[in-house]
Amino acid sequence: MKTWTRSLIYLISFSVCFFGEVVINLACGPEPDPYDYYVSFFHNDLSQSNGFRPFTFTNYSFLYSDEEPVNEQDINAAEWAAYLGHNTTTAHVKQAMYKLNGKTDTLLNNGFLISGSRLPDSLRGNSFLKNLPTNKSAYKYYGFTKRIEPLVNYATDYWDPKPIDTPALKRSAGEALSLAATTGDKFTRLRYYYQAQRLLHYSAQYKQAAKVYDKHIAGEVSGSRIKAWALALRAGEERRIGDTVKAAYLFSKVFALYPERRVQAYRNYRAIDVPKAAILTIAKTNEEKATIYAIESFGNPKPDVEAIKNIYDIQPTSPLITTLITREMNKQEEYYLSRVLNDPQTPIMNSFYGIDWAGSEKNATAQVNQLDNLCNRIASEHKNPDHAIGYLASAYLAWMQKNTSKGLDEISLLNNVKLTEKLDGQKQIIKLLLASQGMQAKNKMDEAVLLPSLKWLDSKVKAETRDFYKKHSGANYYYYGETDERRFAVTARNFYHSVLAPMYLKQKDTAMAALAMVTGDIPGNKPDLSYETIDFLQNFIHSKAFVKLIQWRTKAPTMPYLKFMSQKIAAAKPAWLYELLGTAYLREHQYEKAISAYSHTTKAAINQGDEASNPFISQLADYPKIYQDGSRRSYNKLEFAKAMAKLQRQIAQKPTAAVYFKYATGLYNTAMHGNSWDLISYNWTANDFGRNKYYYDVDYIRSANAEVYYLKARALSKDPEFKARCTFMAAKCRQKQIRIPNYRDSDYETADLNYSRLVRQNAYFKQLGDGYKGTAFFKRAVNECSYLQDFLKGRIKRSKR
Amino acid sequence: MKLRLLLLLFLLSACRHERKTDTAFYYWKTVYKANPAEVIYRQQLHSGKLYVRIMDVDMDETGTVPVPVSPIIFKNKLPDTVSMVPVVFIVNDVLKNITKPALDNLAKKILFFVNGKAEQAGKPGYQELQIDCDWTLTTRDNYFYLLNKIRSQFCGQKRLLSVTLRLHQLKNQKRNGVPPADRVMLMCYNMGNLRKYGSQNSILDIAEMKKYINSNISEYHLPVDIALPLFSWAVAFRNKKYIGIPKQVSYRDLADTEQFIKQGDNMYRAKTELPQYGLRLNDEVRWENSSLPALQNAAKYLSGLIRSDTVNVAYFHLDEATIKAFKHEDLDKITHLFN
Repeated sequence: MKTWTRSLIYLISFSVCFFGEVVINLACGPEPDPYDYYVSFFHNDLSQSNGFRPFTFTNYSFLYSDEEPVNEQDINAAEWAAYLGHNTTTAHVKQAMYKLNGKTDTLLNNGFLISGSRLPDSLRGNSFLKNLPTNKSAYKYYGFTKRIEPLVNYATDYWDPKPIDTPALKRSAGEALSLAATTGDKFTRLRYYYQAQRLLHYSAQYKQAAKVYDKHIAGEVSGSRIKAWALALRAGEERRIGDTVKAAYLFSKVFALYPERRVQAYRNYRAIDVPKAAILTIAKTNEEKATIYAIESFGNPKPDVEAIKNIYDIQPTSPLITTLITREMNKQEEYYLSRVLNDPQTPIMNSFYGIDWAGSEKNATAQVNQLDNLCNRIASEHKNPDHAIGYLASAYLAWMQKNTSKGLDEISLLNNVKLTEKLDGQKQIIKLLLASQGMQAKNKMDEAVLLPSLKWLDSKVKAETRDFYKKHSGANYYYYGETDERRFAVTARNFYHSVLAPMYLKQKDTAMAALAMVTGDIPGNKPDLSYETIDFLQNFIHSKAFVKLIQWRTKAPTMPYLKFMSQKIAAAKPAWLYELLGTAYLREHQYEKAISAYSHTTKAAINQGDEASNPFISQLADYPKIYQDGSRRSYNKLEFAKAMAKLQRQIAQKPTAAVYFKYATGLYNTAMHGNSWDLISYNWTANDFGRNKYYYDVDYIRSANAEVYYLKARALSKDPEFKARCTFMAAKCRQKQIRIPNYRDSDYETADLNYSRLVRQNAYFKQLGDGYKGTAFFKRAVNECSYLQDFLKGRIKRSKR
Repeated sequence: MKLRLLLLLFLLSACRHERKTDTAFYYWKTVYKANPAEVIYRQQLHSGKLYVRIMDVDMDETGTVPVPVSPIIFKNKLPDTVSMVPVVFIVNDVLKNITKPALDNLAKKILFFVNGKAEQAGKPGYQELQIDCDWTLTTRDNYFYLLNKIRSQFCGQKRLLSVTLRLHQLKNQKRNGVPPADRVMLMCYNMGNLRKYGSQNSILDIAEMKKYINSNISEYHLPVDIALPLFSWAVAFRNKKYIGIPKQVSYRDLADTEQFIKQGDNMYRAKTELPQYGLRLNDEVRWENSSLPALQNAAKYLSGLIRSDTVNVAYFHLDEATIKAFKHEDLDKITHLFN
């Protein structure tokens, strides 16, 4: 019933005071992907060893990964397989030790381990269990561990309220000690002592547990990793006994030497929370000191070049250097690069969460320079086996600082250097960035230069995608938490969205910017686009650019660069592109062209669903909305285009007040406050109020064109009731042109008061009061509109003064 | 007219029997260990009842099976002079998608677990069990079903089931219904908008409390006990947006002018980067506490509205650092405001 897996969990939970660094509860809301929340081009897996992966930088998680770099079960199973011999496999050891279900476990305990009766059917082929009876010491030890595990795993049945059985733990520890003393087998003797220490540890007999370690385990000459796990326990015991400095030092040793306990040791070290200086005084070697500096730095989310300097000074060959430099580079991406790339005017949605620790510009630059100097030193001194990372880091920092020539100089130093595959990949990325930056400075694209690099990046993305979906069959497009496995896809997306698309936008080439957005999206297992790209296409692109996109989609361009860039748009469904084009025409009031575009699309694409409505309803108040309920007439996008085109023709031929009014109402109702906003917008949020970002906001937010046509309608009419209505509608349009303050504004309360004042001073209210006071419409409007009431009350007050 | 009103008030006050009140405490830690300061404090208040959190019930890591989370460990047995009310907090999500047989099973497991823990506490014969849950409309039916199951197995002569009642549950009685229990404990704290920037006190704000209570409490179909807060905390904002509760910030820290600048009655601004608290330069901190005047006002207000003959006034929670801020005489007076 019990497995050793749980014992590992409880072992950890016993000796760790979890999350010492938790000081703040993150607020609710959309959570950033902790592996992809800032623009990054510097890959975080450049180290030749995978042993420090959990300590890769991320500001949104305590560790990059909670998984130990090496699996302890694998190590233990390998030791047992080697010890037992006779073709015992590690898989079978793992099965017998860690993977048995409750029923099988009970059968094993009550049969095979007591009377030596035959194995349960499901385990008959298990080489470990088959070979066990041939080794009496092993057989006895295995039986012993099966008996003690329930004591250690006291809470495997969550609903069992029993507390820890301390007396039984102590008794079992005594038994382990006596078995250790009597066995003649070295392999199991060490393990019995370990179990004795562990059982005493769990029963909070820390001094006795430490004694067992010191007397029987510390001096034992053995290659077994049991010694490592016992050392981890010993470190915890030292903490409980009271010598926290020594405890932290021992945990730092476990961290350095035993990757299967590295995360656990790190957490314990940090939970103990003693000054670094005190631990350094008892560290014996430079290597030990370097480890202490590294552990401290792994817990520091702020720039920390000093730590690398300290390590490099005392142990220049340290394998920790690469991981630590990468961490610092990633930090600078978050703190410095986010600031460089931030363009408040860009129409490209930014879903990244930059954090600015550096404070002032000067401070930020100083931090980058400090890191650059150190990287140069490491690169030029050639003392560290991964010293090439220094050149790469330096070149990349130059790119960040827009110093292209320095960046090219640095990268050229690696021209004849043989790099690892990962470092070479990083070099190609930096070269691409520097080449783009050169073009950016001249504001001139050299697409022939870009193409080979983009093709190379594309091949990397494709290979990575293939591997990714092989590993995660069935994963969706944006698989949360897996972006750390798709570094090239993320790099490509960041390049296309944050570098290339903005370059095209600067040149006012929105069609190419759109291609860059589409091309950059992380490939899924089905064609799909990111939220950012959809937002860009749905909100920013005019009809001219869509026409180009459709052309490239319909007929593959012959120019190699354009052909490469059109690959993904070629997979887009034509109906979808035509729907986007039609909507752009609606926003541009080119209704005849919209009709033509919609002829290429499907009914489903242009129908408005449950909220289909009539855009020609004229209401005094904007709310409630009147949606289709079966009896009312509603319009889809094509029908709306046809109706507006007809009105346009009538306006051109013989305009009347009624035609102008209907046309104005059609425009008014497609605004966010109108009855049929979804004819020209794909989404609606209350935050849109006051927006001035997209070309169609003139209608969608401000109803400025509707106002013009309401005035034209009024000018052609002689009916005071109708004229009053036109004036009131114009007043509503004018009101929408007053920016509604956003609660995020710096002085929201003043802005809100100001808004409240301005809406009551609408120029058309005066016209209504002066010219149409006697109309029935005026009376209705006064009853309905509190702003108008306030305006009139204010007038009375003023006149009384 | 005034005279008639005075007469009516006199008659009403003349008719009113003195209500029986008991001072109680919640014990909301995961380890119970006898603490002399807490014991003395309780004794001075003649408080004989302790509402002890036994566990939370939440879904396991697979999200499919309800399990106890952070169950209490009793390092000592509770004193003989104290009666224990085990409290089980059920996470609302547990009740969202759960079948009736699973609820039957859950009721059994909860009681088995609580009985086991009560044994360890030296209180096998506990007389009252309390269930705490922030139930909503979507979980109401399942929650009430579970309560009925627990009640049918637990309650009998002299044994009763009480449940906590949040202010929103009291206010929307029609929609939320009345839970099948013997008593409710009205939780008179955490009523304001914690996340809203400003100088308000979200722990205890009498104006906010009145919005929920009014006559709702007088008309409630079950006897009502009252839980009042004693705790305090710091609420942090960055650029006027809520970022969290930095647990390590104490009132004393805020008074350190090297670290914070006082901006208003209860607002402070970080003068420097304070990574030890997770705060950055210019982050703002609102200090919220349960002040004695606020507790007195709340007690006076509630006392006039409650109709129960007996009221348990339970303070949240029994912790040496928390109770240090209140003289036992002051809490005694607050309890007696309910008489």
